[in-house]
Amino acid sequence: MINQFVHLDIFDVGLAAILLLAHGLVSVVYRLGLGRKIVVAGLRMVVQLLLLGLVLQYLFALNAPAWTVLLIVIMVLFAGREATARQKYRFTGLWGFAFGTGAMAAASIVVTVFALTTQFRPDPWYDPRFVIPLLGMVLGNSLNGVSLGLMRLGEAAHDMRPAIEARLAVGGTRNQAFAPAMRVAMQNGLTPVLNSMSACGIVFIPGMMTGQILAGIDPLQAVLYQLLLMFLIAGATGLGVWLAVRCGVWRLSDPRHRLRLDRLKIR
Amino acid sequence: MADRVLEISDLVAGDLPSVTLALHVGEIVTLRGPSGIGKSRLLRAIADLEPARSGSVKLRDANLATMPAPKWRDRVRYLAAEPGWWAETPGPHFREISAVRTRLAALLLPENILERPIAELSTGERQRLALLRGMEGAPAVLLLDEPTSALDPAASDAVVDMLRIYAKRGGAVLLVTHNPQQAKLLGHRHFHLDQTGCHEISLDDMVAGVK
Repeated sequence: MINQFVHLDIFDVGLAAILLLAHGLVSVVYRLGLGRKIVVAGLRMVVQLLLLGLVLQYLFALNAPAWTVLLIVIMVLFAGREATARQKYRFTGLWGFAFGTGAMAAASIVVTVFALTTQFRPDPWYDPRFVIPLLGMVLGNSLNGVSLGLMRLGEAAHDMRPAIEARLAVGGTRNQAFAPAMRVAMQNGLTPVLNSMSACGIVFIPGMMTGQILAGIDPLQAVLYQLLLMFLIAGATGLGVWLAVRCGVWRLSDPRHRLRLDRLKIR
Repeated sequence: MADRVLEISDLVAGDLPSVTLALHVGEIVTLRGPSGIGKSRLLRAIADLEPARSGSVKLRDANLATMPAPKWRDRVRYLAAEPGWWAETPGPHFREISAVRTRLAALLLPENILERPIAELSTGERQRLALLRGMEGAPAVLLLDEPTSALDPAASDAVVDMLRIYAKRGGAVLLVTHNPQQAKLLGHRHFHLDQTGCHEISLDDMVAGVK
């Protein structure tokens, strides 16, 4: 491998940060009032990523499973919060958060363990240098789908109420009655990952691949890595969306096969 | 009394006082009451589409609570005032499309209606199709929420005839209607529902619209 990657130092990155000034200039000229937000978002990004870098450095050196698990739990909880915040149709109580978090965690962990034990095979298999980046990537990308799927399910149950109850009223089961709502919810949840699979390589070059190529890795190897990750992401998203929507249907109905819109809050 | 099909005992649905009422084989019972009092709610509770606060409903010897809900609703059919549809055309809403086809004419519906988009049908056509859907598979009880509200007199008469035949063959109907003439034409007994409860009233009182 031709390992001639350009070592970045803090000044190179600082120079690039000047580009944010252009961003700020637009805001000032057009009075978007975004100046403050741009500064905050920029600073957040820098601090969060640097912290992540330090934490990862420390964790890799430490190589203690307990700390890896702790970081995973924190990542999963944040993902769950992100996935279920800002939704118009939300489940009462903590159910939405629980479904989002649970579905994402289960799907991401299954897929990550699959990748670790069959493709990457680090020794030990739970080596944080592999676990954390993989899980983070899969988690972050399935978040979008799970979030969309759950939101669309709530919306569909609300909008399709007459159709769902009509089906129940002639003796349909809750699975039959919810089938159309489930269908639109899952279609919605899976659309982003399908779009990015069809667009990647032509419309955009994935960030990870770009990073690898810049870091000096053979483009074909970078492509294989990217493909592997895309498949993992697609798998985790499919599994996560399905799980979240199934749980949602379970919560929006009851054992007497009724539609329970009282368990849905609309903002 | 013999031949009881549906027995509603002290059923409390929503904010209504408790309701006790029995339907017999071949009987059509009408229910009147001020708008918004909760008549639909009562019918929905009988069909177990929403939980009742207390009380019980029995279909012959079977208790609502012990029968699986889909089976209960297959026997005790609630037809909402505004029917819902889960497919694009009427066809997929029926179990046996060939049997339904033979019944279209009785409700003055055109032959090709089962293939047309639901969005293009009139409210009255949809209401009659919902009745056909609700009567499929010969349920024991029909809970009807203003089944002729969107119909012209001819179509309304056709629905009345169909319900009469259904009752004659042993079906039982609980009919919510604001139309005294229809109640008079169809009903064997009449009930009035308000905040004080559900009371049986005479035909004359029912037609006069008083308790």
